[in-house]
Amino acid sequence: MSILQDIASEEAELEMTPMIDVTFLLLIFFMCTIKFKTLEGKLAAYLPKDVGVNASDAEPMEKIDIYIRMEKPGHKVLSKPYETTKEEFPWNSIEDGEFFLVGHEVKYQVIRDTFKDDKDGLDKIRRKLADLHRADPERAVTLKPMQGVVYADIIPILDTVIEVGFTDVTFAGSYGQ
Amino acid sequence: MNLSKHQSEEMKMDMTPMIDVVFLLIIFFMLITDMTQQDLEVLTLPKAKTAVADEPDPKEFRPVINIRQTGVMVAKRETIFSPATDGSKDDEKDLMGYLVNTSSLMKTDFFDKEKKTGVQIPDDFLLIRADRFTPFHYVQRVMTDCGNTDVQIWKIQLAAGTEAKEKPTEN
Repeated sequence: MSILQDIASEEAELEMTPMIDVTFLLLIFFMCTIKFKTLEGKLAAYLPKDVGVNASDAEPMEKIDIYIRMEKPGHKVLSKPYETTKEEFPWNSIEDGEFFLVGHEVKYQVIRDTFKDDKDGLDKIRRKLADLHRADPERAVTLKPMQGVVYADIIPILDTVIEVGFTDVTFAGSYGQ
Repeated sequence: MNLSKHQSEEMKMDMTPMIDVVFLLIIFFMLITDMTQQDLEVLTLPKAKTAVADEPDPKEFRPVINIRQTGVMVAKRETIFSPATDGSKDDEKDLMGYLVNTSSLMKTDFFDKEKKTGVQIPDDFLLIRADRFTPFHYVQRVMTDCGNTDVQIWKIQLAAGTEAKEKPTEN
């Protein structure tokens, strides 16, 4: 009788330590893996489909060729002095440091006309492409980046081509050309 | 006598508020963590007006290749291409392997959609993200490999930053 009374009077206690451990581990995991959503978009383009093993006998269509040529390569300026980044990331070499390109210039050649890569140049390209689009909206556009151009040189022209209304945008040229 | 009684009492910390706060933090992080963004490297993208907002469906297959300023390519947090720095050959074996694997996982469609005959080729997009000052020939490198007979990816998307939309002006 006394044993039963003892059991009944005992307070049921929940062991919280493992739960707190797991909870903290979860918290650390989420804090380490968190990446805040960035505002990002994408521009669609195509690679030549009618070449190589799948070559079709489709009629050749007159395309609008846009060449992107480098005028001045510019020079690299590290966004932070190398000595500062070396303190933060001692394992990084000078090539790993994030840099800006200063004095880098390209020119866009749309069919035969050449334009600068500034706002005025892109406006002129927009007007020219709009005329071409009005004449034939189905016409394909091919972007041909030459050696020395960087990613930021391609996006504005691709953006302009899509903005005008062309939907068939293809890339040409290959690595090392 | 009273003092000795106080000394024998065990100090207990009330854990309940702390557990409450920790649980709230976990719920907060679980809600705002977007696992689809884990494949995206921290890169400075050039901006574009016509860029379509990138809102991937977590259930859908979405191949992404990130290209850093140095030309190093990263997919699923693994380096798949390292350009040679000493004039030797680029370390590229993983790039082709990644593209072949990616291509095999993509939906396919007939090369000639109207005739519905012939070879079936991958019909999904490959997202290429590069830093604004990444030499474009590294992107062309991926494009060249996409044309390989074992890959045949022909639809690509180039990542760009979206510009903040201006409020419509009232006339």
